[in-house]
Amino acid sequence: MQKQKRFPVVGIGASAGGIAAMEGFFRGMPSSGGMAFVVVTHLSPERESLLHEVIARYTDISVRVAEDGMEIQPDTVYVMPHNAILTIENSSLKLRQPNSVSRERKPIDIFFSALAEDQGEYSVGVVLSGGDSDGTLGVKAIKEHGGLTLAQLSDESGPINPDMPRSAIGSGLIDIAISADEMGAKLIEFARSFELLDELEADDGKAGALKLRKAQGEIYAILRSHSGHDFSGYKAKTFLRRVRRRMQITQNTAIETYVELLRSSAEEVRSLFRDLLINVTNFFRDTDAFKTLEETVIPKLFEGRDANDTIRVWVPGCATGEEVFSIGMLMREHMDTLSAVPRIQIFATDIDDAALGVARSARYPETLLTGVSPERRERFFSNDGTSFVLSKSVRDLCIFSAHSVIRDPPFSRMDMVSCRNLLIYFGTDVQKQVIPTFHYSLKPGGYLFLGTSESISQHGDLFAPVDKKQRIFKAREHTAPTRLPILLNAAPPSNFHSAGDTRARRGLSYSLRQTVEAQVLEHFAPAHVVVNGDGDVVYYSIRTGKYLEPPQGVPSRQLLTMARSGLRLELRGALREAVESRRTVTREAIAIEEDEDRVQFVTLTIEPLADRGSGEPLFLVLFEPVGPSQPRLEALKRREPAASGIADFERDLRDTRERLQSTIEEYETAMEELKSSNEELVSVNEEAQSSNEELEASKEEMQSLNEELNTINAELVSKVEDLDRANSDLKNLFESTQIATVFLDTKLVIRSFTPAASSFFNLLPSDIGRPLTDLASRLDYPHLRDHIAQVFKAGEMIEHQLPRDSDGIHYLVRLIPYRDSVRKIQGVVVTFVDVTTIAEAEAHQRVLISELNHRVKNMLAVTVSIAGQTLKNAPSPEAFAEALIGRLRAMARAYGVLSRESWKEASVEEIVRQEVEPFGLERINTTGEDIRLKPQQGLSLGMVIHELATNAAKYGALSMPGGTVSVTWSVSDQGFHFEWSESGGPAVSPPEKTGFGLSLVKGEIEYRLGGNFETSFGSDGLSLRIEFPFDRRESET
Amino acid sequence: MTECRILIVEDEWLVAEEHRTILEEAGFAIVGPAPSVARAKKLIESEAISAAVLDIGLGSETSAALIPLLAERGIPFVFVSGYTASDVPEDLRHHKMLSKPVWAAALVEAVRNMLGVQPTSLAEQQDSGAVPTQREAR
Repeated sequence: MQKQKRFPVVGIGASAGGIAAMEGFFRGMPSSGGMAFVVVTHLSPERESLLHEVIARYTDISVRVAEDGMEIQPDTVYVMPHNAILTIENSSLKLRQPNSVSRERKPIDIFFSALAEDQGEYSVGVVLSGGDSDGTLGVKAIKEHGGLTLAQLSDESGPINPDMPRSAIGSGLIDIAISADEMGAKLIEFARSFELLDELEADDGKAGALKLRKAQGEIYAILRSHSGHDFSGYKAKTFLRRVRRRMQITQNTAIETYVELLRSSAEEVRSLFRDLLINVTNFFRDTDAFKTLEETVIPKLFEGRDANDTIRVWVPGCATGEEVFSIGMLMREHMDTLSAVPRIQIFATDIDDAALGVARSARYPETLLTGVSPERRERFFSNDGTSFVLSKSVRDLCIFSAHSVIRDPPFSRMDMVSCRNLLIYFGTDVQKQVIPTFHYSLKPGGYLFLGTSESISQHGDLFAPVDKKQRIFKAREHTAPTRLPILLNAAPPSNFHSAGDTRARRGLSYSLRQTVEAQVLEHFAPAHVVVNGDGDVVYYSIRTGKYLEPPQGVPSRQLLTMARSGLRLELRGALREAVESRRTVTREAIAIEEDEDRVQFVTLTIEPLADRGSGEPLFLVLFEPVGPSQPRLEALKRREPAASGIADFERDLRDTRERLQSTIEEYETAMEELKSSNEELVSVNEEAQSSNEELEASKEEMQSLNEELNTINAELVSKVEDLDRANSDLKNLFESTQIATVFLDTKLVIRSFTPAASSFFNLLPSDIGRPLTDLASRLDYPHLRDHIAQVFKAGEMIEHQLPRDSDGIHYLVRLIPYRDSVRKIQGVVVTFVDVTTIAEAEAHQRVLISELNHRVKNMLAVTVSIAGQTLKNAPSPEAFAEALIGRLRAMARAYGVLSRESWKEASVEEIVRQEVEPFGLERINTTGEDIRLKPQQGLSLGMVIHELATNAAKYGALSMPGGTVSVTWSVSDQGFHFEWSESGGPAVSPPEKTGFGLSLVKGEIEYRLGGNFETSFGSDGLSLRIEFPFDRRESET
Repeated sequence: MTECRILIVEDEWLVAEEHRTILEEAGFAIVGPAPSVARAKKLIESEAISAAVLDIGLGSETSAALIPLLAERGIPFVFVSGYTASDVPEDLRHHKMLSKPVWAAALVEAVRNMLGVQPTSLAEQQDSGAVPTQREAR
């Protein structure tokens, strides 16, 4: 079909964020890789795409928009046009209009599937950035057909939208997951490996085939040693195809080097093993077949069963469980129509543990549910957002376990065996072995359900078809107990010649020779049969009726049960000998009892048949009559003619023989019984195995549950610790605050209280639960109830200051709503705060303010008075201003001294110094002890000194250069003494009219302080003595 | 008009001088001024007094001690103080009180009121509330 050299066709699926990924992909792709590329994207049907122009920017490979019927050429990029569905047939692109009603949302799946069908192992699927799960099913198809699959790996450079590649990688069907940039190199190597492999095979067909077979054997051995699984029974072609694909992926061009790799890398063995086991199953794969199953088989399975019965189904090679659950769903649906529901057990087995893990979790992405009708989806699956989870009602019917249908003893007493698309992976030998295994497993009348491309081959004797098209069969009944077929691994595989050899030997001058032989055989040959090692007849010649007769009961092919009396014993011994020795065995003069009391002597010859390559040894059994048949007595005589006395021995011998015969029969019966016991034991064992499976599954669940519980417990413990800490913090807080706090619930019953409250109200722990009224009676708070009601209503805090109690303590009561975690008011918190200090401070503050007020007003009154007095004595406004300001300053200075001492006392020295300083300290000598006057005394003295000093500066000693003043003070029992004495000034005389200065001295000292003073006007200045009452001790305290 | 003699009790000499000046200019004769309770008592007992102008705080004493003595003699009085009404002791609050620094016209008006002289228009400008009658004062 394909004339030109084949080349890989790379399907590239991308969606959102795909431009960046494709840029990376094509940048890493050399222009002559010998591959074709088909780019499939999710495009809006309305918008014309410029994608081909975009791609052309990044690559030298010629880029074309795909057209219908265009033949694929290497080193070309084909871009899907908008508003079209792209497929491929016979290496030509096909375009069709998308369904306008329901827009197909999976163009990548559609193209990949077509590509897989068309290109087989030359198909390559690349899944780049995208937002859907499109491509996952397509990748599955490619993988199934032996193609290569790649997906963009999430790393720092992308993909921008990782959902699509992640879905593909998650399905386990991606061979290579790398970043887009590196894909080119991988693909080039992949393409080159095709060429090299092709060369290898084309090179030397015969030697290559030999080499290949040798390598094949080695690979079988490696696989067997690693996985314990023998693949030698698999179809060689399928096997080699998988091996070759692994070689391409691992970049091995020679089979020898790949075998080396397998030897050194357990990882690669695992990969190959997984690839060999690849089986892509779907829910309800082959809808028609499942429909037939649902309509014909399943109702029959339930027929005549009640709740005490169990329906047993075995699904070998269940992979990821889709087939199992499909059957489970059908069963569950049928169960719902019944009143008495039997128990269902679906045993699902596979050798792939990873696949079983998937099946056990019973969780599938939406793309894998395509075969499930919306009703079933609704009924049996729950969507948890990312995937669909099968309901427990179906999952609980199924028991999964690791089991090899080839290697392990089969399950038994099954009502149905469903084994779809597993046999296709097996060679004929294994198929031949497996089908009887299924027959063994099934109860008589049980059903076998195979894949549409599978058959029961030559085992028509074991199974009768129910529906030929859908491959549904029914196990035929046998009375002869079926034997457990020999397992492949139990007996070493017999070596066999290839079938071709025998055919070649038989081939020459076929017509004549065969005619002759047939005629001779028909007329002259002794009667004969061909049996296998078990004694089952596989071929009858004509005229065997003399030696064989149909036994009682169900038809049987077993030679030994058919042999006529007298022959059976010898036949059994001879056959065993022949099977064991593989040599010709002859028994002569065997007497066979015919009808009418006649005896026929026979020579029995058993010879191994030339091996015909089927693997099963066969034996030719020849019956040669010796002379004509005779009456019994005559015959006996003939055998021993002379001896009449021997007749007794003869009789004895006959009796003995009969006894032997009956013993043998007993022995055979015992054997049968033993066999059936063994059968039962096997079944029991298998039951135990499945129970064990269930237990293990439960154990796993329990373990994970336990872990969850442990985690939760740890969280709880830490929460409890937090709570304890918080509780203890609160307790300490309550004890340390000394704030009496009472918690009331909605019915105003005391819920708890703090230690401070217990002493405050004489509360005892037993008071918890008592109503508030008891507490209210101890309070002078008549509005308490109203206020609490208000708090409940408004949800806002209320503050209320209680009147001063008998101990003189002020309490502030706060009523605060108690809210629970959802902010609902569940009670009231009543706190009592001792605010006595605050109340006292407030009172004190009021006093201070009032005092300040008083002083300010007094001072203003004084100021007004000074202003008035000064005005009276002032000769001019300037003089008035000067005098007034000077006096106010003097007052201010005195106040300054007082306020420094907090209005407690006034230092004489400081007052004096402050007042005379403006006139020059060097001219004024001050002498006196450290005396502290009362504030009023200080003020008066300050004003007096100011008057004296200004007077001295104007008219006295300080008006003259060299004039000095001596100021002295002291305290005696009479009081405070002060003297102002000027010297070096002009002569002074008493004034005619008393000026303000002197009036002030008089007023302050005599009137204000109750003292007296004395002036003397000398020749060099004024001197003045002052006295006023002063008690040093009083001042000091 | 017969001579009206007004007693001034005031511990601050400057303020006492001010009050004396005001009242003398208004035509009143002055008794005192007295800086202490003791001096004031002496004057009340020895002098003829028509009315009294009292400062409340006298150093460490208060002029409240003089009230019984004045009441006994039927001498009306007015307080002149730096304290506001709310700060004076409660038993003194109902007496007529002028705030320092006193306005000359207000002082004269208050004294005239006490003596039963018809109030002048100045009285209406007074700032310290209703004027209690003498009857109430007693």
